[in-house]
Order: sequence, then structure tokens, then C-alpha cells
Amino acid sequence: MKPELRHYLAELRSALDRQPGRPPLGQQLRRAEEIPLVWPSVEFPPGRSMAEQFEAAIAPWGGVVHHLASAADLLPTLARLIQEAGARRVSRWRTPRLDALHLEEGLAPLGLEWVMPSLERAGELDDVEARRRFFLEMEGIEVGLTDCDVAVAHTGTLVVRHDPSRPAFTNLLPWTNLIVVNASQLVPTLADAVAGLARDQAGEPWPSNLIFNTGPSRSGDIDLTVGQGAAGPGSWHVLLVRDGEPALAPGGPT
Amino acid sequence: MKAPRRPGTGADARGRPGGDGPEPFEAAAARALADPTLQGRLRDVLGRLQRSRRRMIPPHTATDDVRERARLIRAEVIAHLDRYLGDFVDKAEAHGIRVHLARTAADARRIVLEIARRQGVRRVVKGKSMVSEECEIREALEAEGIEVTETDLGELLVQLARQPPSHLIAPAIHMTHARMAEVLAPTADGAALPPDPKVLMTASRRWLRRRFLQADLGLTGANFGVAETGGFFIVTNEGNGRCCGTLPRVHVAMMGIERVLPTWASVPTILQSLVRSATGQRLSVYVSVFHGPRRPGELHGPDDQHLILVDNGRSGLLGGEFAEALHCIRCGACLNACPIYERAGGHAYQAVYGGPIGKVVTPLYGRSPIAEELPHASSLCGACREACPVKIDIPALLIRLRHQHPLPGPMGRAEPSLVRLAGGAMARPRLYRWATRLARWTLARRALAGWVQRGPGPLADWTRNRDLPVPDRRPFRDRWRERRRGRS
Repeated sequence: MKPELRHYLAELRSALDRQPGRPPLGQQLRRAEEIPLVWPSVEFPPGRSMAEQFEAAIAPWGGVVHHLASAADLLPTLARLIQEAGARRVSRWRTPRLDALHLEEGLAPLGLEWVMPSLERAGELDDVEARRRFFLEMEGIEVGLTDCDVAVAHTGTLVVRHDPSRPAFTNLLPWTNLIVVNASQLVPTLADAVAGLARDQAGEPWPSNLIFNTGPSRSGDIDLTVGQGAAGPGSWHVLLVRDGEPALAPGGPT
Repeated sequence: MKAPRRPGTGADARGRPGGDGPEPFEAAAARALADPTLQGRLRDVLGRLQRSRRRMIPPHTATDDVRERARLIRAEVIAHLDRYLGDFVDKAEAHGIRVHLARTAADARRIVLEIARRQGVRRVVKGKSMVSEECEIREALEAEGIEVTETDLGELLVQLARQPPSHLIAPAIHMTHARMAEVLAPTADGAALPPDPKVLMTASRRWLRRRFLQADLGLTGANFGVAETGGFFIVTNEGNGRCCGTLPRVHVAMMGIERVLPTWASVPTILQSLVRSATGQRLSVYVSVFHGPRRPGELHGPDDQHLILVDNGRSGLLGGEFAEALHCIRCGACLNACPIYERAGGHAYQAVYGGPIGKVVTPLYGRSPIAEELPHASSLCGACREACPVKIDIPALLIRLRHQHPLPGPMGRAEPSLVRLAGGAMARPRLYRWATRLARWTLARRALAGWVQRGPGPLADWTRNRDLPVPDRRPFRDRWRERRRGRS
């Protein structure tokens, strides 16, 4: 910390110390935690499965959920969606889950160009001009195929940690984002997802770039009702594989 | 350095350049009231935002209690800001984020310009940030010949129209589709655009993309930083904040010193309170969390990430009677709920922060030509307090500010003695009874259909903008007595 900042914090401290009756450190936080974080129960009616809830939460905001009985349905569904998007250039993440689908072979009849820059190209981003060229190249991709860490049923949110094998442009630049999610990744609430992330991160460095993504990019600035794809993807599809789904759905968010 | 877009420096109530200096709030509001287009937009948009907020945080329910939870979290941070801010800075620096302190707006401008110069920046893409508005960062960069593009669609609209934003989260709330089509014409190389929202969106997307990919630096705000992890959050629906923080080689984020959260576990409460109150969603589309620059092998993110902590008057409130104003999470719910804002619109305030919370912070930071007038531009109805997700008692703060800045004019001077007189009368039941009769007699003679439009003496000043009801023929005391008699 720069000395200037240290000095400034000392100034803040002396201003705060003058405050009469200031509650001790942590006291108000503990009181806050005693109040339950509850949202209206109509938002997550008891008895609704997490997969149904996820769809109900995201559909009004332009997200499309495809319920797939098993991973075997992924390939034909992806083929259909990629064709519907009229895509020639597709990019996907090199994650174990997406690698295991052998998409390049399975979707070979579509004659797609797969754009999956290798990690060695990371050096290009050091230079201003080379970085510009790199992202211009990625800008031409029509479909980005990604996955997620955790999915939040109550809000229809995907939690995604970006890293070298999961570059952030894949779910940002293309018009269409197709996301493969397994129902076993669903948790009831945002608070569950946030707590889970903290457990996962224990002792690990936080990822440089992490997002909570709830549906396609949208804007209410031109019109409060219309407008997908302001800056990011305008078309957002979750392929929800429902094997491994917990048999009993937990109730609403608490 | 000044471009003619700062409110109060020659802009009229809708921000159009050409006025002559500051205009009293009353006059600016009166002009807004006479503009039927603006009135329609405000009613429509604010009405919708307000209804959805009430659905998301229904009053008198367990969800309503979450406001107390959020209030306590914010109160904890502000009461121990030195500690939480210190932790945040240490952790953020450990992630490789370069943290700067800007004590004033001028410091903030200097820091941004230094980074831009050092990195040879020519083009900047900018996310929506009230702190950057406050520090007039865009103007400072433009004065250096650097091209700055606002990438939030609402901000882009007001930038192209050369107006100041008129709402915390809906900056172009005052514009019609026809006006937007006019304003966005440059994004379609000057071709005429139809007033169709979809067409306007497509044109601006294509145009913004080019700028995102060409920019040398992304400048954004930060909704909050987390002391426990050292990360900071950017919340957007459009994804423009993500683009600014992911694509250019340099990312500069600006954050008010007060926007710290104590723990990672406190994020869901504040984040959801913010989003529900602001836009009536359960969560915004993109909540981006940044923990430092690009790591080895990563194909995204800046190589150089800066966070500027902006004080600019904030620390002066710590430990004092206005510290509660620092609890604000800038959701805009108080603006949407305010009957004055709903009619006067944002530009009448001639300040970066309009609406109820703006009426509190603007005079405290002294940043409007009409700052001292603003605390009086309120009916103290309390709608803002009811709407606030962190329960800031805005009316109480406004009353304290009124003590510090009494209204000019006869009423302002007479008010303290009138209040003392009223207090004295209330303490003496017989005198009070006599005084209310006298008041009724005096006012009834001036009334029209039960309302006094021009009061006597110093009250004339007060009734210039308000009507005074004539006290009822049968005062409450009499009715109460009769009721009790009837029961016994």
C-alpha cells in the first residue's frame, strides 16, 4: 500500500473514532446475519423442480432453456441450434465436459469452421495492435459454445469462472451463446452459489474474471421492453441435461 | 477544459445548451412541467420501475425485512470504513490491481490522464459511472484529444445529444424514440434511422463493437468492492461493462471510497437489493467480478488494471450527522418513488446526483449552483425512505440540511420564529385552541373551495408553490372529545 493511502486511512480512522456510541467492529454484521435473506415465495413456488424454476426465471428475460433427457441429446440439439443461427464459424471452450462431446467429429456434416485459439496465442494480447487483430478475428465468430460452474435456479443465473481454457470472449462476442449445463449443477439461490464459490476458492487465488450471467445482453434504455444484444450475445440458449437431477426438489429460496 | 454540458453552466432544464447560468429549481421544474413529452416519459418509465420494485420487495413482508439486513451491512462498513477499505486495498493489490487514491475530482482527472499518457492511449471506451460524471473524466480526456465513447446505450444517447444524464440508471429517460433515432444517426454513417427500437439497437451495437475492439483503454465504474477478497463488481444488463473490462489492454475502474462490502457472504444481500430496487430484476444480466489483470495463458482481460478510489468530499461525512448518506448503493429507487422527481425530471436538479439522495449529497459536497436550494425542493412525504433498500432516512437528513441552509426570502427568515411560536402554543392547550380558531378565521377569508392560494404575511412566500388547506370547522380535538363522549 502506498504511504499516501496509509496516511489517508489513518485520517479516516481518527474521524470515525470521534463518533460517539459507534458499535464495535463486526457487531452490525452479526445482527444482519440474523435476519433471513428471503424473497417473495411466488418467485420459487414450493414443489417446482430446480430445472423448471431455472427456466421460469430466465424465460421472461429472453433466455431459452432446452430440457434434454440425457447427454446423448446434446449433439442433435446443438446441430439444430447452430443451423438455426446460420453459423459458419463456431468457437467452443476446451473443457473436459465439452471435449468429451467430440463435437468436431459429430458436427462434421455441418462443415463448420472451429475457432479455438490455443493458449500459446495469449502472448498476442500483450501488444496493442496484435490484441486488436486477435479480437477482430474472434469478432467474426457467430456461435460461442460454453459451459458453467454453477447454475442458480431462483434467478436463472449461470456462474462462470474464466481461465485459460475458458476465454471470456467466447460468451461475449458472438451473437449466439449456447451453454451446456447439467441439472446436477443447479443450486436453489444466489446465496447458495456465492457460498459454494467461497468454499471452492478456499486457499485458491480468485479468478481474474468471474461472471454471474443471467440471460442475453439487453438494454432498457431505448425501450423498457424490447432490446436484446446491446453489447453481448442477443441469443442465449441453455442446454439443460437433466440426468443426475436430484429427485426431490428443494422448496423455495430461504 | 469545460465542455458546455455540465448542468447549471448554460444548459436549460433538459440540458440543452443556451441558458444563462444557474436557474432556480422552481423555474427549471416549472419548465419540465410544461413539457408534455417529458411528463409522459417520466410517468411511464418511473411508474413501471416503481411497480416492479414493489413486486420485488413487497412492503410489510419478510422480504421487506431484508432492507434492515442490507442497512446493517452498509452501516457496519461505514462505521469502520478505515478498516474495511484498508483490507480491500491490501487484497486488491495482492491480485495485481493498482489502487490509487483521488482526494478530489481534480486528482481523479490527473490520475486517469497520467495512465492514459503513459500507455499512449488514443481511444477510450467508457462504461456508465456516476463517479466519473462527478469527476468530469470524459471532458478531461476529450480535452487531451482522446476519443471517449460512452458504451452504455443510455449514456451514449445523452453523449451524442450533448446532454447530461437525467437518471441514475436510466440516463436517457427524457428522450422519445424519434429523438433517439435522430441522435443515433451518426452511428449509421448519418443515414436516417426509423424510430424503431430494434433498428436503433442494431445500429448502435454494430457501431459500439468497432469501438470496443479499437479501444486502448476501458474506463468503468465499480458498483462495489469486497474487503474480504479484494475483488470489485461491475453490474450491467448490456454487457458493456464486461466489454470495457475484458477487451482493451488497460482497464481503469473508479469507485467511491464508501462502496465497500465487508465480506463475500454479504454480496447476495446487497447485490440483489441493488438490482431489485433499480430495475425490478432478480439479477442483472452481467455481474462481472474482477480480481486483477490477465494471468498467464489467459485470452481475455487487461494487462494493466487500475482502481481509483474517489473521496471528493465523502470522508468529510464520516462520523458526522450525515454519515448515513454514505450507505447509499445508487440504485435510483428513491428517484423513481419521488413525486417531485417524477414531475421535475433529473435535469431540474442541475447536479450529477438528482432526486432525493441527490438533494442530500449535492449540498453536502457543494456541487451545484443551486445546491442550497435543493433540500427545500421536497415535500418530506417519505416515499424515498420507504423505497430505499438500505433504509436511509432521507427526510430526516433533508430537515437537518434545511437547518444549515435556511431558505432565502421572508419565509426562510420567519420560519424559526414561526416554529417557536407554534411550539409555544402547542404546549398550552387553551392558547392552542384559541390560536387554531384564529388561524381558521384568518385563512377561511382567503380560501377558495377550502384552499388558500396566497397566505398572509410571510406565509405568502410559502404558498407561492403550495396551497394551504383551511383547518376544518371541527378540529380533531373536538371530534375526539365527542367520540369519547359517545362511547361512555
